[in-house]
Amino acid sequence: MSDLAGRLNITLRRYGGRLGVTIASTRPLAAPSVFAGRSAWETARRLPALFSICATAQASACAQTLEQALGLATDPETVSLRQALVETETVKEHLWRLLLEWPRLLGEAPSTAAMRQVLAAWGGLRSALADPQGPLVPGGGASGTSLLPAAVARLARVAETEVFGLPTRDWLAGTASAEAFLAWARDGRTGAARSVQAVARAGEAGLGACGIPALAHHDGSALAERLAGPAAVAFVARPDWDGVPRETGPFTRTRHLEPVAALVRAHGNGLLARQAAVLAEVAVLLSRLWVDTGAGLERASADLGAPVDCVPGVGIAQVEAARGLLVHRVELEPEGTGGGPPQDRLVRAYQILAPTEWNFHPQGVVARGLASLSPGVDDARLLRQAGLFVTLVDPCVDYELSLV
Amino acid sequence: MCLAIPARVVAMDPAADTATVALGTVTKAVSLALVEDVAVGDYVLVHVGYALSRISPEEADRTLALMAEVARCGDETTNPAGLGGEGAS
Repeated sequence: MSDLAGRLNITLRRYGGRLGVTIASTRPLAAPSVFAGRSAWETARRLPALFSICATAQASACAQTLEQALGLATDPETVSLRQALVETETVKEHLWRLLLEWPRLLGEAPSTAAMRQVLAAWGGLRSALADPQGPLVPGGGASGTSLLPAAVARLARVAETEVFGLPTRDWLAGTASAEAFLAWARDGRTGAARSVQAVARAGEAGLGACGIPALAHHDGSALAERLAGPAAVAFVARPDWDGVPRETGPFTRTRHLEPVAALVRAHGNGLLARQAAVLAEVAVLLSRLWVDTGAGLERASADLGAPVDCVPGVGIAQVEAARGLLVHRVELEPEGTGGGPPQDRLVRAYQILAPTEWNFHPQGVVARGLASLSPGVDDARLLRQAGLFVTLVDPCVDYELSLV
Repeated sequence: MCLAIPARVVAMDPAADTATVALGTVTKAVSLALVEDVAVGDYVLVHVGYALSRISPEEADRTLALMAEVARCGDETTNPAGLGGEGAS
């Protein structure tokens, strides 16, 4: 059943006092091509149902790229609503990791009751967003978003009681240094705190640190050129920039914020800094969504809405999704081929470049990070360390981690 | 590019809070810990061993039809990353 969704097979191999890492993917990277021959509006309606894990980010990117290809103006309020919805989805996805995966790796029971609350709130919002005048439709408006504040409030309540153990604003103010962050972890009020404490106590703070650079912010033109080029299929499968794999995701977005920056200075971009990055992103996003503290994430948003010099009938969109930069590109058939209004224009080609392909590139951040682990520890410990690193970078598909 | 698969609930184990779901001839046990009010015959979206949400049979049919097209696309298109990485060391 997971064959349709694809999976990642990550294999660790000890040899000569070193650790070799192989990452193989069966992800269905050609999936977006099923929209070729469908109308623009059918594509916008059905694409998020297919890519349903980050359906909001996918829908937002799809709407933006189709609007660009069709030359439709986007209302600034709609742009803002889309961003808020995608950020709420990012919090929901991070809470999955924090409530289900982090406890499991620590040997604790997952917080399924809390995650059920998160999904119930999110599901209600998603149902309302099916409104054909909603912000996730090309040319759409604000319809269906009235549940957003309540959904954010519910996610915030879960985060505060189950993850931070205190109000979000207090967590942000109280963890502004590496020492303060570790003091919060030592209190051990939540599974997330105990997970951080376990890493620190085991001397694993810097494990997985590696030198893969962050994916820099590009204007859409440069990405459009790569995606339109003859090597586009290989680029989508194993993306690089200037010949170098790149990282994109919560760590690259928060690495300049405290306590992440301090932890990087002390330990490199290993396990501890990555744990802090996920927590900090949840806190900052909730604050921005709910309290608007003005704290900022590093992201490409300034570029996202900028017009790209695409030829008519071509669109490209970049969205900061939960796991990193998500890129959509569409080419429409020439006007008249489909006949009638813009929504009936037919799609000639549709491409998606997902963050998992950057981060799980065979020489990317996960491969290099895992290769830096010590092969000298026992199997169970090595697999636990590797599992935590993989979870912190966070693939959007099932994966199998094995040691041979 | 992250797919959750629609599948039909064919049996439930309330004590374990799990269900057996079917997609074609393939069956699988999934956790029901994250969803409420699921019954035999319902369609649910499945991801990494959890049922995520209920969906209507019509929505499930539409998504499965699209996934069948994706599977045919996959047969015709090589995924270079699927051939196995050369690894890092």
